[in-house]
Amino acid sequence: MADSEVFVDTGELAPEPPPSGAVQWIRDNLAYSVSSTITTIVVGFIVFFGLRALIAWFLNPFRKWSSVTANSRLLMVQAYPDAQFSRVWISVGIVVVLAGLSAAVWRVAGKVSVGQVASGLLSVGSAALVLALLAPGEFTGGRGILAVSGLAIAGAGYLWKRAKKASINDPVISTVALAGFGLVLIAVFLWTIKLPVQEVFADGTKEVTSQALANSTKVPWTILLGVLAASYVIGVAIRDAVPALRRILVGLWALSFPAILMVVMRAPDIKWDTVLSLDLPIFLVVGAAVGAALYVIGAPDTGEWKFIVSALGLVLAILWVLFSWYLFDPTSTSPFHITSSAADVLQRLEFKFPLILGALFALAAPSFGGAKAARLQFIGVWWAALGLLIMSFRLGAASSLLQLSGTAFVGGLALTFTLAIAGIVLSFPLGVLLALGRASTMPIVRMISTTYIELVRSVPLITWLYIGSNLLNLFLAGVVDIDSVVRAIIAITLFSAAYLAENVRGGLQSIPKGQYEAADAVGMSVVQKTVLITLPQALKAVIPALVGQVISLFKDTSLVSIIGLFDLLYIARTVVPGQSANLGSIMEMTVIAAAIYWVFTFTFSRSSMRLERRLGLGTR
Amino acid sequence: MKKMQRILAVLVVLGIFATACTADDTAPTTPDDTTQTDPGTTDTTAPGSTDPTTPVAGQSGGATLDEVRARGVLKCGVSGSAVAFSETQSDGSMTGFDAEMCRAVAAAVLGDANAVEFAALTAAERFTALAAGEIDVLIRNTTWTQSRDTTLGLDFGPTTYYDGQGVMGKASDGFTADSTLADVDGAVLCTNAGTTTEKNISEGAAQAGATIVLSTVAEFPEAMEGFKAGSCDLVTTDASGLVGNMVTAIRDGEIQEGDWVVFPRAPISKEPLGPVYRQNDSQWADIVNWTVYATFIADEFGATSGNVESLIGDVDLNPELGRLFGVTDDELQSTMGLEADAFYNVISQVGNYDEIFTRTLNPVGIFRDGSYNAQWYDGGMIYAPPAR
Amino acid sequence: MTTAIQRPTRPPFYRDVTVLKWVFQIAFLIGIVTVFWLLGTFSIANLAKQNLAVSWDFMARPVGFQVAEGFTTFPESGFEALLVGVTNMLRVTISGILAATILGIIIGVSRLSHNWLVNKLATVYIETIRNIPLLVQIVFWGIVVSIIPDIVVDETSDGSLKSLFGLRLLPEGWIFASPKGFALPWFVPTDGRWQWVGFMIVGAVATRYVYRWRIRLQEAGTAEARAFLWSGGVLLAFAIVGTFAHPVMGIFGPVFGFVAAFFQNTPIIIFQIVLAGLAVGGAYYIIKKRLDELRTPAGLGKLTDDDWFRLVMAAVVALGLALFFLLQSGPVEAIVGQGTIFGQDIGFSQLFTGLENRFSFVGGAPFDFSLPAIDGRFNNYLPDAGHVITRAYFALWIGVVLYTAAFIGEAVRAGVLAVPRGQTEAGFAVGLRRSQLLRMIVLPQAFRIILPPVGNQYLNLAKNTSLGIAVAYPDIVQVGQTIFNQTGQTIPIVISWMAWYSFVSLTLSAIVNRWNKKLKLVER
Repeated sequence: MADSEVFVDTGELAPEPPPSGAVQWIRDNLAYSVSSTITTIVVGFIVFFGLRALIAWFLNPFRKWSSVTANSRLLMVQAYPDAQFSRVWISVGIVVVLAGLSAAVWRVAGKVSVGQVASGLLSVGSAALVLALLAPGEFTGGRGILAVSGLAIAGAGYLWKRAKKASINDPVISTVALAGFGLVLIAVFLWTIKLPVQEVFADGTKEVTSQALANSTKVPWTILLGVLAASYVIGVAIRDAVPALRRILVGLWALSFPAILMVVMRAPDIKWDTVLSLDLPIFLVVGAAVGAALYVIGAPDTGEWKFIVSALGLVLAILWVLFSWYLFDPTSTSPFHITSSAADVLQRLEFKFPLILGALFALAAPSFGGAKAARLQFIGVWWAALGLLIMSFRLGAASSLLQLSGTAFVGGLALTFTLAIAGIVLSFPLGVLLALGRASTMPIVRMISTTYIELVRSVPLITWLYIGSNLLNLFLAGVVDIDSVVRAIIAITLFSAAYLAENVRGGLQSIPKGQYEAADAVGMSVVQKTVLITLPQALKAVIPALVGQVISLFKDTSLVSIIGLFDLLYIARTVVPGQSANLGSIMEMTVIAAAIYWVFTFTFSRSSMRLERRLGLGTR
Repeated sequence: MKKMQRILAVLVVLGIFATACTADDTAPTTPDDTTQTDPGTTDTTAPGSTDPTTPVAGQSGGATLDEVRARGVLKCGVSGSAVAFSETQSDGSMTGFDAEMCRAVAAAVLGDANAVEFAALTAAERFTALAAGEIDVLIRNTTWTQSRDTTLGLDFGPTTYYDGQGVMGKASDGFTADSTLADVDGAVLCTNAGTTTEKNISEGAAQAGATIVLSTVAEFPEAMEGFKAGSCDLVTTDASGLVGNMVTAIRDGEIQEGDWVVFPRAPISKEPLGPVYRQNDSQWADIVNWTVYATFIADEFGATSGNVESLIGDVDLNPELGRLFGVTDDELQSTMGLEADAFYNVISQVGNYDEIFTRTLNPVGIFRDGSYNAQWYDGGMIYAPPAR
Repeated sequence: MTTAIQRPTRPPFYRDVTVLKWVFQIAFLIGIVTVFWLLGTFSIANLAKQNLAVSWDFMARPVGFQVAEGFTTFPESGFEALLVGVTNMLRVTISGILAATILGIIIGVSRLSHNWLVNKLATVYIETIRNIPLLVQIVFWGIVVSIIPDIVVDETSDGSLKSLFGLRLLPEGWIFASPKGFALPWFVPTDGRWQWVGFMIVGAVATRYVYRWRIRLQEAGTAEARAFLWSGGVLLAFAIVGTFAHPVMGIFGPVFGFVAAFFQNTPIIIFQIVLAGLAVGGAYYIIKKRLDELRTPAGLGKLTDDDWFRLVMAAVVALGLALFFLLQSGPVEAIVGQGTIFGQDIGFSQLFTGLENRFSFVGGAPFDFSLPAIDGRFNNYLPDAGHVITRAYFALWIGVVLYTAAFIGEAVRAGVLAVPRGQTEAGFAVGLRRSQLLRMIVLPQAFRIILPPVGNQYLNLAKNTSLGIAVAYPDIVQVGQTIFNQTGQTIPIVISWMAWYSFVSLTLSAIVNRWNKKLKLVER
C-alpha cells in the first residue's frame, strides 16, 4: 500500500465539454424519452409530497423535541454517575486519539478538487433551501433558519464554482484541510447554536427555554476535537520514524475496548496488596515454570514423550479445575458448591486457568518451537497471554467503585456498542473453531459443529435472547449469578458465532488445494497447517463479510430492548415517554433513535466499502 | 541427555501443580477469612460495592437482612417507566412513588435513603428476578392477587396504593364520567399485551354484554399514541396511569380539560399495589411491612420530615410515635433486627406517606382526598396496626 | 488426511492418528453431553424450587387469553394458540415475500435507471432503510400507521378513500383507510374453495405436461413453441372452468372417506410394522447408495473411518427408529389418528375426514367478492367484509417488506451488473431489440446470480417476522411469550419455537436449493 494516494483526473484527457445548461441536463437525465418524462413527473409528484409531509412533521410546533435534548445524556450512557463522568470523556478520548493516529498512519488523507467541494456545497445548500420552501406554513423559526442557511450555502458554492471556472486548471485541496475546517465549524456550532432545554418544576409544570447546544458538554467536546486534530498531527510527524506503528496501533485498538469497558468505565476496585502478594507470584512462578517447560518441549530433537507429558498435563489441569472442590471439600456436591456471584467464581478460577493455558501452550509447543529464536518468541507469547489472563481475572473479580442508581454501569448507546463489540470479539474464537470443526475430517466433531451452526442460524435472534434472559437464569440459578447484560452478551455471542463460522468457512473453501499440498510437502503438522497456512488466508479473504457482520450485529443489538435492557431503543421508546415531563414523545424519540443508528451504520458501511477497495477484494 | 530432559520436564509439570496448589490453599487463608474466596475483597464494605462472597438466598430463610447489611446497599426492583410511580429521569436517577418506598426501606435497614440500587424490570421478568435473588424487594406497581401470592413462592406486603382499572374515552364519542362498560360496545380498545388489564377488560365487557375489539400494543405509551390519533377509541390501564396521561396532555396543551374522560366510577377491577418479597423470610417481611406502616403512622400522627427532629426532643411526644422512633422504647425495632432509630431515619430522610404521595403523585393530577388512599379516619383505606 | 504411503508397521497407539482422533472425538462428545446433562439437572432442580416441572400439559388446556387476530381469537388450547401464531407468521411471511420481491426488483432496476430522479430516489431509499435496525423501523411504523391516512389520503366522513393526492381512483366505498387500519375489497372464500383448489391441483399437473410437450416441439424444431404462453393459458382455463365445474371434484370425497376409515380401523400393529420396515428399508437404501458411490471398477476401496461412521450411524439410527415404532404404540397411534398428541386429534385419519367433509358435493362459487364495510358509532371495519389489515399486521408487514426489498434491490442490481458486457454487445450485434435482449440474454443469466442471495433474504424475512412482538403482532413468538408468562413453561415454548423455525428454514432453503440446482443444470 505504498502508493495510496488517490489519483484525481486532472482533466487533460477530458473530451470536449458537452453542451451544458439546466435545460440540457434535464433533457439528458430526466426527460430523454416519453416514458422517462412520465416517470419523472409521477416520481417527482411523490417526492414533492413526501418531502413536504416530512418537513412539516419535523417543524410542527407540537413536536416535543425538548424531550430529546433533555435526555441526550440518558440516551448515550444511561445513568452514569455525575461525579465520575470524566471517565466517559476519557473513554471517548482514547477512541479519538487512536482514530487520529490511525488516520495519519494509514494515510486516509486524499485530495479533492475545489470544483467537487463547490458542487457539494451547492447541492447541500439547494437541498436545504428546497426543503424549507416545500414546508407549509410561515417563514419563521426552523423553516426560516433552514431557508436562510440553505440559501447562504448554495450561494457560496455557486460563487466558488464561478470563481473556479475563471481559472484554467482545477486546483485540488487536501481532505485533511476540509476535515479540519469541519471540526472548527462543529466547535463554533457547539458554542453558538441554541436548542430547546426543558426545566421541570416540583409541581409538575415545565418550562422549555432555548439554551446553547450541549451546555454542559461543549468544553469537553471542544477539547476532544482539539485532541483529534493534535493526534493526527502527531501521527503524521512520527509515522515515518516508527515503522512498527501500524502493528502497535492494531494492538492498541484491540486492547482499547476491554480497557475502556473494564478499567475506565467500570472503575474496578483493585486491591494492590492482593495484586502484589498473589497475582504477581502466580504470574512469575507459573510463567517461569511453564516457560522453562516450553523451552524444553519445543526443542526440535526431542522425541514423542513430549506429547504425552503435555497431554497428561492438560488432562490433569482440567480434572483438577473440575474436581479440586471434591478433593479439598468432599462434602460439596458440585464444583460450585454455593451460589456464587460471577466475580466469586472468577476469583476461584484465577488459580486454575493459567494451568490449562500452560498445558495448551505445552501441547502446541512442538508445532511452534524449533530453533532457539522461535522458541523464545513462543515463550514471549506465553508470558503475554498469561499476563492478560491473570489481569482479566483480577479485573473481572474486582468490584466496581461506581455509585450507580441502576444495576448496569453501561446503558444507552454505550450499551449498544458494548453488546456489538463484545458480541463480535467473543464470538470470533468460537466462530473460527466452529468453522474448523465443520470443515474437519472428524465425523462427530463435524456433526456437532454443523448441527450447532444450522440450528442457531435457522432460529431468530429474539428467541436466543429469550433463552439468554429466561433460561440461562434457570440453568445456572444456584450456581452463579449472571448479570442481565452479561446474559445478553452470551446469547449474542453464541448467535453471532454461528454466522461468523459460516463466513470463515467461505474463506476456508476459497483456499486453493495447492496450499494444503505444499504444507503437507514441507511436513507441517495439522496445527501448524491450520494456524500458519489456512487461517491467515481464510480470514483475510472474509474481512468484508466480517465487517458486514459487525454492521448487522450493531443493528441487531436493538433487539435487547424487547427483553428490557436499557439500550438506546429501550430508553427512546419506553423510558423517556414514561417520564411525566415527556409523555407523548414516543414518535420524536423513535425518530431520533433511528437517526443515531443510521449515522453509525452508514459510517461503518462507507468505511468498510473503502476498506474493501483498499484490500482490492471487491474488484477482480 | 534425552533422559535428563524427560525427567526435567516431568519435574517441571509437577512443580507447576505444586506451586499452584499452594497458591490456592495457603494464600487465601488470611486471618479473617474462613471461606476459600478472594482474600482481597473481604474487607470491602464500602457502600455501592458488590461483595462477591455473599450467597444469594433464593430459598433460604432469614438471610436477606444480613445480605443487604453486608452489601451495604438495597437492591430494589422497580419499573423505571411507570408515570409518577417510577420514572427514570434524564440524569438516570429514579423518581416516583415506588422509588420513594424503596428509599424508605433503605433508610430503615441501612440508615441511608440513598443506599438503593434500582433494577428496572419488565413486567415479565419481575417475579423471576425476585425469586432468583437478583433483587431484595420488588416495589413495581404490582397487583396483589391470590394466584401470585400462592404459586410464585413470594409474599405481598401492605398495600401502599389502592388502584383500580379504568377506561379512558373521548367526550366527543359521547363518553362521560358516568359511562359504564355497557357503553363501550363496538369500540376498539387498546392496552398492552400480556397483562392482567387485558384479561380484566375482556371479562368485564363480556359481563356487561358489550363486545369490544381488542387491539394490543407492546408498550403503554404506544396505546396512548393510538388513542390520540384515533386508532383506539378507548385505552385501559390502572386509573392512576390514565389520569396521569390525561393531566399531562392538558398541561402540554394537546387537549382541553374535559376532552377525555376516565370511567366507570367504580373501577373495573381492584388493583392493590404494594411491595413483594420472597416467602419464608419473616424477618425481612416484618421489616418491609413495618417500614410501610411507619410512613402511615407518621402521617396519622402528623410527623413529617420537617418536624420530626423537633418532635423527638419534645417531652409531650405522642407515645406511639415515641415507640416508633425508638425514643421511649427501642425493643420494637431491635427485635426485628433494626436499629432503634430506623423509622426515625425513614421519616426524616424520606417523609411520611402523605409527603411521599404529595411529592410524587400530585403533579400528575392524582390526589388523596376522597380516594381509597386517604387515611381511614378520612374515609380511606390507609390503616396501620398500632406500634406497640 | 489419507496418505498414499503404506506404513510397514502400525505406529504405537499414542501416535496413531486414527486412534487419537477417535479418543479426542469421544472425549469431546462426553464433554458436550456432560454439559447438557449438568444444565438439565440444574434447571430441573431450579424449576422444582419454584414448584414447577417441565410439562406439555398447557398444550391441551385452555389458555385464558385472547389473541388479537388470527383464524380464531379465542383459542381453546395452548396448541391452538400456537397454531394461530404459526398461521399469522405464515401470513406475513408469504405476503411479505411476494411484496418484497416485486418492490425489490423495482428498486434494483431503478438503481440502474438513467433517470436521475428515479436513480437518486432508489439510492436514498436503500441507504436509509438498510442502515436503520429493522426493529426501530417496525416500532416506527407501528406508531406512524395511525397518521398515514392524514398525510396521503382524502377521506369521506366515514373513512372511505375518495382520492389520493386529489386524484379520483376508485368508486367510493372500495378502499378504506383510517387510523384503525386499512380495508380492501377481497375474494372471500366460501365452502366450495376446497373443491376448486383440488381442481387447480389437477390443472397444475396438466399444465406441467403441456409445458413439456411444447418444449419437446421446440426442441424438435417444428415451430415456435411459446411454452410459457401455452401453459399459462391452460392454467387460466382450468381456473375459469373450475369456478363453475369444481363440484366435479366431489367424487374425491368418498375416496378420502375411505382412506380415513382405513387409518381409523386398521389394527395399530400393522402401522407399527410398516413404519419400522420403512425405517430399516430407508437405512438399507442409504447404505447401499453410499457403498455404490464408493465402489470403483477395481472393487470396494478401503473405507475411511468417516465412511464407517456414516454407515454405522445410518444403521444405528434406523434400528433405533424401528425399535421405537415397534415398542411404542402411542406415537404411531397419534400419527395415524387413533390417538391424540397434546390432547389434539391431528392424525392422518382426522386429516382425511376433514378433506372428505370439504370435498363432499358443495355447489356455488368458490369465492365471493366482497367490499369492505364499516359499522357502529366508532366506525369499525366489519371483520368478515373485504380484507381488513390491522395496525400490527401493517406495521410488521411494511417493515419487513421495505427492509427486505432494499437488500433484494441490491442483489438484483449486482446480478444485472455481473452479466458480462460482451453478452449485451453480442445480443445487440445479432439484432435483438432491447426488450428481447433483457428477456433472453440478461435476465436469465442475472437470475442465476441473483437467486442465492435473494433466497437468503427470504429466509431472513421469515425469521424477521418474529420482531412483530415489538408491535404485539400475535405470531408464534408473541403467543408463546404470553403462554410462558402465564404458565412458567419456558422450556417447552422455546423447544416449540426452535422446532417451528428450523422447519421453516429447512423448507425454504430446500426450495431455494432446488431452484439453484435446476438453474445450474440449464447452464450446462
